[in-house]
Amino acid sequence: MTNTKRIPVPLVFSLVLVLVTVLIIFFGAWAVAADVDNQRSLAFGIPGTTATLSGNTVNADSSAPQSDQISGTDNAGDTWWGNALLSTCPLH
Amino acid sequence: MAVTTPQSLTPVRAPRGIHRAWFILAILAVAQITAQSISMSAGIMVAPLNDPDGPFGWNIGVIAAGLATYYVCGAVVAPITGMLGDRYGARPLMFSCGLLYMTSMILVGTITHLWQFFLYFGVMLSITQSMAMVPLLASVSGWFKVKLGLATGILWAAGGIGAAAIAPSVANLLDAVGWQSTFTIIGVSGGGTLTLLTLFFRSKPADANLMAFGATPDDVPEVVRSKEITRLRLKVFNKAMRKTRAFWNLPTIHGLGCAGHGIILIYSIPLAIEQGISLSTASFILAIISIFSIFGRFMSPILAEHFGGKPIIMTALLVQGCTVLVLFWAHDPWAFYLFGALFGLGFGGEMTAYLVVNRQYFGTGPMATLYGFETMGALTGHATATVLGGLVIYATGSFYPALVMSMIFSLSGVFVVLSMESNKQILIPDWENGLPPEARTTPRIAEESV
Repeated sequence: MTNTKRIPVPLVFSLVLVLVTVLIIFFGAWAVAADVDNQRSLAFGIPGTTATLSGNTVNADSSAPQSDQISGTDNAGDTWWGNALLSTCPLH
Repeated sequence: MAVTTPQSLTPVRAPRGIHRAWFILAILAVAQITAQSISMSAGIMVAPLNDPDGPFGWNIGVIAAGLATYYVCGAVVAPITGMLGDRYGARPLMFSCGLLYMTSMILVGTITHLWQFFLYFGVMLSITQSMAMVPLLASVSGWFKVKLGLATGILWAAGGIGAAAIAPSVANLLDAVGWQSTFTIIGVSGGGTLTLLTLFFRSKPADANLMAFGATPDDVPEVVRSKEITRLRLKVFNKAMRKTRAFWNLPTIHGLGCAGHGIILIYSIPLAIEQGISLSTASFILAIISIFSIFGRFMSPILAEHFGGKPIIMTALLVQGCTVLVLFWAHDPWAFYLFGALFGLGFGGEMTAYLVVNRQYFGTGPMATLYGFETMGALTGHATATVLGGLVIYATGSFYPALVMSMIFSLSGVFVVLSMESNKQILIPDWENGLPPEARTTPRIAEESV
């Protein structure tokens, strides 16, 4: 029963949770900052589509800019979530 | 407080020498395949939903949000369905699952508006899948006192084979009979089968006046308890589990493992295409991963039962993490296929040993709630892989940082496994001390893990 009394706080669990949140904020803010030129895009790995660095997806209409397909806006920095990521991350 | 009612459980083996547990296993395998068809449908329905010349023409971001809703809702609901399974048994949940599956699939066939996609697929089908994957899968634990590893391996392997067979079937149906008829057929056949099988399914051996497979007359007889006592036992058992590191670390490990292979499953094909390989050739990578994962799915729980869950999960995570290195030098199809075979073994082995590990850590108590939390970790890991992997590739302009991240997730899982308690002994052998005498099992449960 020693184990049941020793660890009241799930330390590893909390640590992983915090690290993943920090990573999402950091890379999210980086992605929003990189969105300025609208050069690259991705499909968030949806099954049935293929994210490529050139901005084309297998099933998407390649004649339209993919960033428009994804967000419906020209710049992720103009969206509420883009602003939130940029303001939360101290490095971007 | 209602008094515990002992059952007179005579036959250890059913007539004709085949224990009923194996029939239950066959039913659960059907449920597993049916549940897998939901996620398979997800992959196949994206193309028609996204087709600009089709009836929907929705943009990829909207579909992504629907799929994210599916993952997030599944993660939230998993512990709840697990708790319901512990409290009311798997049988009523199987019946509800059959009806909900039928209703949801038929409704998916009628989708015309975006909100319907979010509700029918993102919410209703994720609840359905959670019902099938958590309490039903966990119920196998009560039916097998021995050979739980083999039973779990068969279930997961059946799920893998079923998933591989369902994907082309659904695609062919879509081509042949169209959107609405396809989902109506899937809903009626899958949901109808599940509902019908409920007639032959029992939540636990005591419900069929049997003992678990492998139980001996010397074992503590199983009893049918009142709802109040069942609820109290569940509460005290969960409270005892929550005080252990394993309770928190197992979902964390499952989450890290799923995030690790989630990134690969999503981005290995785009990476291959970037290397100049055609889509049809690259698609074989996922096929090879799926085929080899069946072997990993099957063997992992069996080995975990013999050698202990910790080393097996750790090995699977190591294989999953280290084989990603192959992708850094892969340019030709054969290199990607070699990667697929090696990675598939680790990927398949990572996710299937948890029921066995749960028993090794916590004995034979009500385990569906814990399994629900582990499934919550797994789905959160997949959601994280989808979002974070995409962000990393977008931000850095390269697939390789995402591969590094996948390795970090998998290898972090190894360290979390190392930080856990030994599974040679049950962590909470005295949990029944928190119960009033009439709610306890007598005599005391075995101190040695199975």
